[in-house]
Amino acid sequence: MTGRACTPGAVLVAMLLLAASMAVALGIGPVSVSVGDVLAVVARRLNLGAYDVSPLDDQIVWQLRLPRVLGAAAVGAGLAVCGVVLQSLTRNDLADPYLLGISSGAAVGAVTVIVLGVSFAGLVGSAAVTAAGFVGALGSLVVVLALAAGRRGSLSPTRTVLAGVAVAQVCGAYTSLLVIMTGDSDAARRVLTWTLGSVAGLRWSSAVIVSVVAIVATAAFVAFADQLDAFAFGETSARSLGVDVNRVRWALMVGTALVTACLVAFVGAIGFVGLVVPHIVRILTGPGHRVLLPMSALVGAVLLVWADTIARTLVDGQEIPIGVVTAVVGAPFFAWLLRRTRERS
Amino acid sequence: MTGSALVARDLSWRVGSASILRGVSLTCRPGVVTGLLGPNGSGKTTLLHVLAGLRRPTEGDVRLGTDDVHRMRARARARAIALVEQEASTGVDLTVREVVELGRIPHRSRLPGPDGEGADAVDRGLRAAQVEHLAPRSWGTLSGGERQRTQLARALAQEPEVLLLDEPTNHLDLRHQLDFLSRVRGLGLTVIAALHDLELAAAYCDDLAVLDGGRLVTHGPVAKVLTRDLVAEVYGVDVTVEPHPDLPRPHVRWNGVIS
Repeated sequence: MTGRACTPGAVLVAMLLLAASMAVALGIGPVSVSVGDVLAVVARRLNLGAYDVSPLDDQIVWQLRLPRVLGAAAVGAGLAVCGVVLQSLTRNDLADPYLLGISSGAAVGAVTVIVLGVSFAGLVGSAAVTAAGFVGALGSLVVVLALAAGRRGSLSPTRTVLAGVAVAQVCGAYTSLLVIMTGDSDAARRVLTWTLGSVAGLRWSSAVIVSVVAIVATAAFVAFADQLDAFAFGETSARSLGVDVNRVRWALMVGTALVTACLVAFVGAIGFVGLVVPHIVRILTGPGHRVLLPMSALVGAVLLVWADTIARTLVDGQEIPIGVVTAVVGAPFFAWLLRRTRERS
Repeated sequence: MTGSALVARDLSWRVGSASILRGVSLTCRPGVVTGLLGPNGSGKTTLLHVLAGLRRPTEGDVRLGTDDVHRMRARARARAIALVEQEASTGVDLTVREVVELGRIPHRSRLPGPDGEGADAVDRGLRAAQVEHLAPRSWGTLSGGERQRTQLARALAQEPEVLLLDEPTNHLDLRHQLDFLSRVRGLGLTVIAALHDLELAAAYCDDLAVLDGGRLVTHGPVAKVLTRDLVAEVYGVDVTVEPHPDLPRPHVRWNGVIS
């Protein structure tokens, strides 16, 4: 038997949970700010009323923490919906947003800039890393699709996964070689940090970009909800339900890859969220994509908001890579959910 | 519900150098059950997929009424033709009702919203396939026969004119085989069912079409098609076909393999 949460209610609860998580997380840090003051700052900035806030609180909450918290939520949402789409499309429980070699392609660009310290497209520093990461991700996407596409333009999931693996191996070899050859331990550390992901570098401009990407992606994927449902019994069944399988595959493979490329370019390859959040939400709300997609976005957002809060506050004066936190916090929770469903079935 | 005639004209389907279908022309009468017979590898599944519009034939065309099945929009085609595959499997944890609801996808608007008619069609499908009592059960817990009937309910929720069944009685016990086919007969749809069991074909089909090596060997009413010579030629089996002692249909008794 399935014991699923009432769905529209569950989405509403998740939205409130996200809002509450963000409000609380904004107050946590070297200087704590009460939830009331956090809300006052945000309300004043959004012109919702003339609240009395201190300039320091305003600076901390609005300028320092909000871009980061908002960005973390958006990245979590974006990775989670990409994971949902790719798992359903490939009928592979292990599919995650990095399936098409996106993260390794991005790493080629980002690591080249980090290690060699070169400028990219006239940019320097983190902007250069972002731009190079995005271009690298697009490069690997093009190669993967060229390898995977069949003679008549078909896109088989198996070929795509294998092409992704091949490209990831080559990219991984390049980045490893580059790091080893330069022999600079600081560069090696920075590369490892980038690989595990961090939202520390997000400013308002980049936070707005990833937020727009996440919202547009979620809305666009929800428009494909029926088609994704139709893949439950495989390709033939999807076709017989009126789905243009090839068109949907191309649209969604390229769509998820572009979303992932954009997120990875800003925050690195944060793992675990895109893989596990879809599974957690399927257990909670069932496999129907009309609810699964928005719920996954919200749960992914909440998870990354808290993971980032832990990452920036657990050790004084040092950032823990957020990918480490998502794995350490998420894996036991996921294990518990798995056990619970085993007992129920 | 009334069916339409499904007319295949000179269908060929080749993959690489292998010809799976060779010049198959076939008219499936509306509202009638046509049994598709033939040994393993004779092209039954491929023909069903081409008839369903899922595979484009290398040559020839398929018409439903005045529409060319391979030129119809995919959603419109899915509202007219439903397919029950030989074996349906999924890793997704769906309930029986959710599986049947998949049949409403070609009818639903792209925008989210309630689908009032759809719920009725799902209920009718569940009832017609006798899986109403299983509605809240998880697909993974069903027996083979229950899965097959759930897939039939899903196909009926599509409210098609043409129902294509690929060896639908494979996993069913005798009682459910008879029950399944008599239900399908009672629907009044244009049905094309690939079958292995000659006795079942004789009992529940109006017409038979026989494939061998990708060619249509013969096609027509059961009494004309199902003969000792045909079975010997196509299956290499010696049978006796005689009028059923109690029922108004032929009875097939096998005697052995022809060596």
